[in-house]
Amino acid sequence: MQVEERHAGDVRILSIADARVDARSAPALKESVAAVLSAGTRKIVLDLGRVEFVDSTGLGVIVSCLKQVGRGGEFVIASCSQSVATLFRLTRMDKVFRVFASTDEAVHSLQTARGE
Amino acid sequence: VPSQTFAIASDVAQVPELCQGIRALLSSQRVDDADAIPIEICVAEAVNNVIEHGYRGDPNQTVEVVASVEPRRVVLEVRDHGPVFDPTSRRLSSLEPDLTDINALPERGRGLAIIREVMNEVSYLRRDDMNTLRMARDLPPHVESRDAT
Repeated sequence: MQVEERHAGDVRILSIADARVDARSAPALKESVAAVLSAGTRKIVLDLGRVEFVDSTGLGVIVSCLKQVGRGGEFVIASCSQSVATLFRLTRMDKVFRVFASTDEAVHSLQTARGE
Repeated sequence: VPSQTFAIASDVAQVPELCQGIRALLSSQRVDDADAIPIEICVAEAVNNVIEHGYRGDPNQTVEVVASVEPRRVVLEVRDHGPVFDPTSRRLSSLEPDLTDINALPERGRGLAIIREVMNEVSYLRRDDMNTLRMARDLPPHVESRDAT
C-alpha cells in the first residue's frame, strides 16, 4: 500500500493511493500512522478519496489507528466513496469516527479546533 | 435466472478480482448500487473467512462463489473444500460500539455480523466434503428493467 503524506499547519494528511484497504494491504497503514505519531503529530486526516473498497480487516486497522492516536489527538476520515461509507454505516463506525466530505473540510475543522 | 460461477485460489490477493466479477454480474442485471455494494462487501467477508479460518491461510486451495440474480433477490453460495467450518455457529459479535470506551472497540470479528446485517437469509450446509455458505438478499420490487426479464 502506498500512503502519501502532506501537512497543513499542524495537521498531517495521510492519503491512501490504493483502491483497496483490505486484508492484504491494511497493515502498511498502521505503520504510517505510527510513524506520524512518533514524529509528534497529534492531528491526522485519513484521506480515502482514492479508495474504492474497505473490508472488515481494513476497517479493523483504521480502528487501531484511532486507538493509537488516543484521546490526546484527532484522527478523522475524509472523502469516503459510496462503498466505504456503506461499510462505516453497516458497522456503526460512522458514530465513532468524524467523517468529512473533503480533506479541506477536515483540515479546516481540525485547525479551527486548535484555538478553542 | 442469470447465474455465474466464480472460482479463485484461496489467496486474499485474489479476492478483489472476484469482487469485481460479482459487481459486473450485478451491474449487468441492473441491480442498484444500494444493493450491489453491501452484497460485494459480504462476498469479500465470506471469502476472507474461508481463506483465514477454513483453509487457515493455505493459498493452494479453491473457493467458489455461485451468484444468481433472481427478479427479487440475489443468492450467493460460497463453497470450499476445507474442514467442517460453520460460521453461522459462531457467537455473533455486536456491531454496536461502546462510544464511552474507544480502546475497547474490536479490531476484528465483524465479518459475520456484517453478513447478518445485510442478508435476509444466511445458512450453512456441509455435503460431500464441501462447505456451502448460502446468503440471500431481497431486492426492492421497483426496478422495471429487471422485473421485465
